[in-house]
Amino acid sequence: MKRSFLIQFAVLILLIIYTNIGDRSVATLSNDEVGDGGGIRVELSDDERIFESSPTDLPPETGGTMVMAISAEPENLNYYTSTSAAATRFLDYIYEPLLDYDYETWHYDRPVLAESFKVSEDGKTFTFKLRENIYWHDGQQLTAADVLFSIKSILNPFVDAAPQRTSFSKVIEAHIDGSYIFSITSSETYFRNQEILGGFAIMPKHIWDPRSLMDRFTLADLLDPTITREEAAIREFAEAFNTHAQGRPVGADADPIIGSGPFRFDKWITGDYMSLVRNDTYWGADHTYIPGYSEAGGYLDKIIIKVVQDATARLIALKAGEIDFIPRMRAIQYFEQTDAPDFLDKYQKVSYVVPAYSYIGWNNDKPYFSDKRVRQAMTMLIDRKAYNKYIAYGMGIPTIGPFYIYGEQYNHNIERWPYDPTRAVELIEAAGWVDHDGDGIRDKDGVDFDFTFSISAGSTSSKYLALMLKEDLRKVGIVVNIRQLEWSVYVENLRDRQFDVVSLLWIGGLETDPYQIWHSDNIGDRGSNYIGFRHAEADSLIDNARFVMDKEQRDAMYHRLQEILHDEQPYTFMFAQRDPAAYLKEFRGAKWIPIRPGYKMYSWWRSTAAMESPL
Amino acid sequence: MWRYFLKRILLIFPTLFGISIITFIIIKLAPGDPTAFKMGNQQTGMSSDQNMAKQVIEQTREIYGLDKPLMLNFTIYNYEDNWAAVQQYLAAGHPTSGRQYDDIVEPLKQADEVAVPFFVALLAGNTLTEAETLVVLDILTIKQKLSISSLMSLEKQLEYVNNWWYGGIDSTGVSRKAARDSYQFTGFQKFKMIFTEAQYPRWLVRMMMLDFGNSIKDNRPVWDHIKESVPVSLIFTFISFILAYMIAIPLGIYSATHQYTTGDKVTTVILFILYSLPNFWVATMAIVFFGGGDFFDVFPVSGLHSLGAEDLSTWEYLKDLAHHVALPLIIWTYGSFSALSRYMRGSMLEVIRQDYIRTARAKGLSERVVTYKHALRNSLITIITMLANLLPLAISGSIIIESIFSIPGMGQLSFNAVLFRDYPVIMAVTTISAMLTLSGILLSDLLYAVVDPRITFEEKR
Amino acid sequence: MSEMAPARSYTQIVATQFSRNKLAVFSVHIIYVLLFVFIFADFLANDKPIVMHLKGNTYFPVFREYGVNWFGLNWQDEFKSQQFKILEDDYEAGDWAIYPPIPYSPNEYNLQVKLQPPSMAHPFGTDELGRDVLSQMIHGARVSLLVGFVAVAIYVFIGVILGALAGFYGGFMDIVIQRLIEIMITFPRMFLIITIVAVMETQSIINIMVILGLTGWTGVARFTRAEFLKVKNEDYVVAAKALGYKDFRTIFRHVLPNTLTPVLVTATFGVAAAILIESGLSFLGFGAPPEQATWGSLLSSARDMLPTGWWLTTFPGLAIFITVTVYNLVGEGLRDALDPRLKQ
Repeated sequence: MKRSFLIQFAVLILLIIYTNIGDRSVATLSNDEVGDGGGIRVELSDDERIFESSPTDLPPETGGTMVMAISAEPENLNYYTSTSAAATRFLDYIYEPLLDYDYETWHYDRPVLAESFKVSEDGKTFTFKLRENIYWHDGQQLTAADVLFSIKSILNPFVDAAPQRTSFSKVIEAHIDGSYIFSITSSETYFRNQEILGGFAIMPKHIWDPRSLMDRFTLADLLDPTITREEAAIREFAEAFNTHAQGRPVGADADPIIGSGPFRFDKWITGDYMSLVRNDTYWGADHTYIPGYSEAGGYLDKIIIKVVQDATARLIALKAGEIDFIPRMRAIQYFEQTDAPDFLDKYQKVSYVVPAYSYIGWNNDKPYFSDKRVRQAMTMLIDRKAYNKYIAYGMGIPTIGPFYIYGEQYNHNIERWPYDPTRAVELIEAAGWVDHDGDGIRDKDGVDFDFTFSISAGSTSSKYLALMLKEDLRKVGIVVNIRQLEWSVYVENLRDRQFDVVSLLWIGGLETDPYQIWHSDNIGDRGSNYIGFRHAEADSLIDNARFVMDKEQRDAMYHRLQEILHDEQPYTFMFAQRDPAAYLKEFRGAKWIPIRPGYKMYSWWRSTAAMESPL
Repeated sequence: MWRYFLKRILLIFPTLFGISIITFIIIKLAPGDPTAFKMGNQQTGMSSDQNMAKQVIEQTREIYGLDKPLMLNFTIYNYEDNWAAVQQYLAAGHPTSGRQYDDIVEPLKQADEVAVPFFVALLAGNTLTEAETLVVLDILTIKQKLSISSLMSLEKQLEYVNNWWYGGIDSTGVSRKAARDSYQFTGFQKFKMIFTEAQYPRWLVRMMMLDFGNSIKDNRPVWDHIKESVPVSLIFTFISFILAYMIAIPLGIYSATHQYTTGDKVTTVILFILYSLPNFWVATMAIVFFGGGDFFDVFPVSGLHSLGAEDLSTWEYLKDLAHHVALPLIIWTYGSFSALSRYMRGSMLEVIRQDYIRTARAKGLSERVVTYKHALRNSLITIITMLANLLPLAISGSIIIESIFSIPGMGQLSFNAVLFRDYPVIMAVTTISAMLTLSGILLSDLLYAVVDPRITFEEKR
Repeated sequence: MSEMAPARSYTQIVATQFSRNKLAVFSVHIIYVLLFVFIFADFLANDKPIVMHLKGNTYFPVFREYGVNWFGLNWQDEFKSQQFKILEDDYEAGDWAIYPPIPYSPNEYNLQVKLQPPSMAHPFGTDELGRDVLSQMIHGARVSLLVGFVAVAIYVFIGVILGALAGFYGGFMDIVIQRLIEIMITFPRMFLIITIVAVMETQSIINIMVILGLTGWTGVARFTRAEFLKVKNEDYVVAAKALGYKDFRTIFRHVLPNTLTPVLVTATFGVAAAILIESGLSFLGFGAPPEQATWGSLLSSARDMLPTGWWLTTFPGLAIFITVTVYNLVGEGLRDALDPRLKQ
């Protein structure tokens, strides 16, 4: 029996070899087969920054519930101590800042809780006049005391809000004048002062500090370590704040989070969902402040945010009608698994732009990448076009700089590095990387061109990128090792600069300050310039631009910075981010904006007419 | 026998101690740091607004006590030697940032308040090189929360320290109390610090009072997390156990009584096939085919409840729960049939060959009576003692199934804790699991002794 | 019980018993096939030709690759870039190459043919990068099986030694080893493995083998200990002791062989379990490094493609379940054949 079996097996092998001799060609994808996947591609431009993806044939209606899916539950709902984006997005419907973006001019100067504000001559002191008709969800009035309390909470050194606190490290003073005047002073003139000092969410003092522990301390006291060390009340408040019940209102009977925003907190069932209901007594209900957005603050009666961790399960739940909206899908789901006609009849697919970009960061202090010619060559060795087309399904918007691609900071007058392996090899050889010892691997000064590409576990796109790079660079005599690390280890290695190459995503805003990522001050000591980019002109541009209050002049400086970055190629800039989404067509008023998360539920409404029409 | 069990119970303690030390060391050796997650995560990317500055990280580490030494804090006594090491390091011209620098300066920071007078004296002594002065300032600044930064001029920083230490009039014209008085420690206080200023002893003391501390991730008591997750996992473990026993035992008996028949072989192969299917694969297939995507809409695919289930009547609520639980439960259970029924088959076959069964047969009892009355009863003994395994299973949950079906059980809790380096949670889960397993083993031995009179635990031979 | 002629040895009896179990025998044949794939993976799926005739010279690139990887040889100058398929374009008359049956290496990608269903050119289809799934499975078989073998070898080794020491010496040694066993089994295994993999920082298949080995030995140790307790007072051991043999020698020469057969059964089941655990780890992102395909990693990365890319999950899934099943069936057959009590 054994023998006969082996003979059969041998025959099988021969058969495979035989068939192998035959036709080996297979159908290949034609060049423009990747389209929009049957969805709408949100295109934003310098002028047009709101994009509506749903038909506007019906007048908005009030009512209805929306169920949307997120992948991970926030660990708590304390605005200042929570580190998860999900918490911030949820709480943005409940808490409000003093100022926000104006959705027409896209300047950060639309008064929200503030009625008006004044900036001092030197640009350091901001004085806000609050509206007098704002009430918390529990009926108490919102006053300047709440604003002062909020900034004190952030600056309390024992509150677990260290990342937020760094933004406010230059604040030196804040005080109130009566119930409606709040002023705050920074020690330096800085173009983002307005966004920072007017942009923090205001929390109710009477809920979070009922014993008024923080009243007797001034801002200066909180900044003085001798006082914070000695005064037990400061620590006591911080501990109460870090573990306050409002930060975790779990269960059906929990006290709701008290905010001032257009939605009220409804419920949080852990591991299951969080929900919001419309605030019918919203102070801004008769106040048209967002063009094209709901005048009443919101149309939907209820928004339910359901936790579905598994991406496959998320899509299935959408198809089964358990959820109405997936804000972020996988590209493959968008393009391969949702193209059936009945899906497209029922759901609207949209791919929208968010201000973020992916990149490959070369550690400039490693021997391989210290020469800018090598970095340029690396960029030219990566077939970004093919990657975008086949791996990202055309979702990426090619970008060549660190700024938001549709913003004024971005310099469009730079020519991209092409995909050109021949020129790349010339550059690499010019930089001295030649195979001296004949082992098939390029080397220089006795060091083999053999580096490690660190990717974070769970990121499929960087895994594919690394695998492609490994194969491609092998052909030109460069060895790539792939190292997959857990996120916590990955970040630690970044901070300690223990890596050769990384692939990551930076999330920015409409206007960003390149100081943290590109200034040589931030190399080492766990700063964000972990690739070690040093350039004297870049440093002085960054330093000077911070204090230039004239936007055009500042943008010109950033355009120059981008030219330097393009020439130096400390990063290979890959793509500006596009996120694929799908929602039930019954929902109308879906508008996409270039501010995270890319949409605001205020504008969405559920059409009963569309619901009834046969699909 | 009682002496034996007393001995066994006493032996639990060294085991527990060993477990806690091993876990503590393993998780502390792990690279990665819980503060990493304060800086963004891989799903959303990193925000360019956030400064990953050293100070942020150190402050966060301090809030959670991660800046202390692991086992015992001897830096209280030998900070002077550690300082000599730093001086050597600096004299050799090594860099003053990066991992190597952090490692060498770390012990000095751990000596914390005790070493402060020493450092202030060093600064006052005016014998330090500039690099050394900077290091001392670095140590003092972060741990003692002085509001000076490296951007200030050196003189200004030194002046600040001086004012802070000896008291005096500060820049705003207010008179400050001297900090120096609060930095005097008696010998006993210092001795106590060896233990109180180290991570493991702190944890051990708290655990003895059954206080597992707060989770680093969200600052809630670990105990609350466990109280939330255990019932969820328990639903699955418990029902799955019952199901597995109800199905596997009859199959095992069948296989044993029909040994080498086609029926036996078919059950064997089917059970092994079930065992061989990776559960994440089956779970995904099940979601795709039965979750209402492009195929059948039979089961919901995520969570344990429908939206608004908390408002339903008890009966409706349970029905809803059962509907959600069904699919993950099947996947949770199918793989365990094979081991259990193999076990049953083996123990049944063994019993069947015993003399007393032969006697029973010889007595002319029907095969049925022999099998079900005599053989089954005896072969069940081993199976029943396996029930004790239920205890530890309740707390381990299933990482894979829970994450696919979005079930907030123990598996997810512990998996996320590992990913997040949430030390208090990891420690609590292992400790509780260890206690349960040890009691489970003990219980199973006890059960065994109770049901089977032939077992004795006295010294053998 | 057996009526065999006395000349037949124990091994022969076992072999006869085993060969009666058709299912187990069949499973052994499948294991032969797997072993064949395991050994000859490079000759079954590779983008390098087995034999190549180029410009009057004959080359053996697959063999050369072994030389490059293991013996410090270098590639010939014409093959520096290792792109043999491109060389085909400059073939002159008389040049030829014989490729392995699957002329793709597991990491060779071709975006143009991504996500192709099975065809003549790619019998098991292609994945998201256009890599050949069959080639990845053939090389993945190596890793998956190796994980099983090595992990089990490690834990059998540890388990037998500790179990033997505990059983043979008893007393304090026994108490300590028993505590070790307890410590080991009180950790939820998956949790422990994940924690240790996290400690290792770098992913490598060797780490996984070692970890599976270090966490899996308790069963074998308890088992061996029990066997030793049983045999240590039997005449031949007592006799060996009386003859003044050193302890070590007594243990390994005389007692151990008797306990090895049941350990063999455990090991067979262990290989199956290790393959399954590896696949679960891959699912959780703690498995082999990305460039090393294993069945588990193929299966878990294909999850996203369902239901469209059915071939991506079906074939690796089948491979795992066939392998695990046959190992279990062989283990079962062995157990039945070895256990005199279970014989009819």
